[in-house]
Amino acid sequence: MNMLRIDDLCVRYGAIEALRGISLQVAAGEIVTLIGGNGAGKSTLMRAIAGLVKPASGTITFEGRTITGIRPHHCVRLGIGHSPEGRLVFGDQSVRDNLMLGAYARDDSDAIASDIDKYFAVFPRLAERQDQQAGTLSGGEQQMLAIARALMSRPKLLLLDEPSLGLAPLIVKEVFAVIRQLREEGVTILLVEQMANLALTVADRAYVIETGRITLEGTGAQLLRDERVRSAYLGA
Amino acid sequence: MTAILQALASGLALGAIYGLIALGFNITYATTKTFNFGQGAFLVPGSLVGVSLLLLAAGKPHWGNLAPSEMTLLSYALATLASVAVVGAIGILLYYCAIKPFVGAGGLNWVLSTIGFGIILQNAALAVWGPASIAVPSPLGNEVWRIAGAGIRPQEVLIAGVAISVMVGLDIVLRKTRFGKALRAVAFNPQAAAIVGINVEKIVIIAFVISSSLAGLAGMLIAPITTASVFIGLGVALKAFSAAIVGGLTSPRGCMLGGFLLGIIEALVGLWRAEMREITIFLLIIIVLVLRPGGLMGARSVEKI
Repeated sequence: MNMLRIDDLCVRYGAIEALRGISLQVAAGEIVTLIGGNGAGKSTLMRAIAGLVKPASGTITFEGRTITGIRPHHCVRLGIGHSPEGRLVFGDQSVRDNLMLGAYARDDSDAIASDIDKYFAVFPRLAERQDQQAGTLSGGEQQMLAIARALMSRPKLLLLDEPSLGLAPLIVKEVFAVIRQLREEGVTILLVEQMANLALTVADRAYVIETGRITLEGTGAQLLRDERVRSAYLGA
Repeated sequence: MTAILQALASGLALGAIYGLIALGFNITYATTKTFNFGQGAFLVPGSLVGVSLLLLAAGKPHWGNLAPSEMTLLSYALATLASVAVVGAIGILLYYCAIKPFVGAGGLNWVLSTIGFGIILQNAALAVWGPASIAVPSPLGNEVWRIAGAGIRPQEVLIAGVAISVMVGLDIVLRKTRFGKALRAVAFNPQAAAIVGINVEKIVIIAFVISSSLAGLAGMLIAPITTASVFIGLGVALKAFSAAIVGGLTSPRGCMLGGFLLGIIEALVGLWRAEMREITIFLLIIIVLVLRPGGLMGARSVEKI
C-alpha cells in the first residue's frame, strides 16, 4: 500500500498557480525524489504535505487517511517529519535544545534522550557543538541539525527539501551517506534536490516537475538515462 | 541620604511594576510581532475585580472603600489570584477580537484594534464601577516602616518582592522549560516551530494570557499606592511601554531592566523637582534610542542574514 498518495493537487498563491494537478505516490520504505528547476513547485509540494500551505483542491492521503489542509503540528504527530529548504534551525537555541524541540510531539523522555545520543553518533560534529547556539554553526552543520531535528519526531515519512543547498561537495557526500543509512533503517523519504544526478542515484523512483505539473516519472535509473532529463537537469 | 533611600525604594517598586508590564509586551511581541497598545486598560479590571471581591467578602457592595481591617495578606493574595485569572481570560478575548484577524497581514490595524479593545474594556469598567476611586489599604498595613532612618511604605516592599519573584520565575520558565523553549522557537520562526510539532496558535494564546495576567497583577499590586479606579492604567502602561522600548522590546531581561531604570530615575528626579520628572525621562529615552536603536539589550537593528 502507498504510504503517501497525492491526487490532483492544486496550490495557489493569490493569482499564481504553483501546483496544477499533481498526482504521485510514495510506498513505504521507498526513497522518491522530485527534480525540477527553480520555481517548478517542488518546495510548495513539500510544504503542502507538511501542512504549511493549504491546497486549493485535490487530496493528500497519508497511511490511508486524508490529511489535506490539516495543520502542521498534526502532520508531525501523524508521522511526517520535515527538513525544510533553508534549514530553519532555531538559531538562538543550543544544538541540543533544537533536537529536544524536534521531539516536541513525543512524550517518551527516556527514548528522546537515547535518540539524541543516536544522532550525535550519526553526526559527531553536532555532538561536539551540542551546547553551541545553532545560529553559529556552519551551513553544513545546520543542514545536519535540520535533518536530525526532523528525525527526532521519529517520522514514518521524511520530507527532505534541498539537503545539499549551499554545501561543500565533501559535506554533500556525507549528507547523502546519511540518506542511504536512513533507508537501511526503513525511513521512507521524499527528497527534493537540485543535484539531480545525486538524487537519481540514491532514489528508487523519481518524478520530474515542471511549472507545477509532473511531466515525467520512472525509476531513478530510468530517468538517469532519459535524454530529456539528461539535457535539462544533468547538464549532459 | 534618607530621602534618597526612600526614593530608591519607591523607584524600585514603581520600576518593578513597569518591568512586569514591559515583560508582557515582550512576550507577545516575540511571538506575533504585535502587542497590546491598550494594555493600560487591563490594569483596571486587574485592581477593581480583586478589590470588589474583597468588598463583597466583607459584606459590602462591590464599590465603596475598604477598611484596613477588611484586608489580610491571605485575602489580598486570593483576590489577586482571582484578578489575574479574570484578566488572563480577557487576554484570550483580546487575541480573538483584536489580534487574530490582523496578525501576519502586515499593516498597523492591530494597533488600532488593541487600543479600541482597551477603550471598550475601560468603558465597560466605568459602567460597572463608576468613576470614583476606591481607597485600598495595603495588606501589610499603611504604617511606614523605618529602615536606616528612611520611611518605606510596606506596600512598596510587597510590590518589589512579588514582581521580582514573578520576573525571576518567568525568566527561568522562558529559558529552561519545554514551554519556554517552544515559545522561543515560535518567536524565532513560527513555521519552523510548526514543523517540529508545536501548536503555534496555542503558544501565541498563552503568550497573550501571560501578558494580560501580568498587567492584571500590576493593577492589583499598585492599587494600595494609587487607589483603584478606572483611570489608573494609562500613565503606567505608557511608562511600561517606554521601558520596553528603552530596554529592548526583543529582550525579556532588557524589558525588566528598562522598567527598573525608568522607575528609579523617575523617583530620584522627582526628589529634586517633580516637574522635571517626565522631561528627564523622555529626554533620556530619546538619547538612548539614538545611541542604541534596538534598546539597551535589544537585537541589533542590522540582522545577520
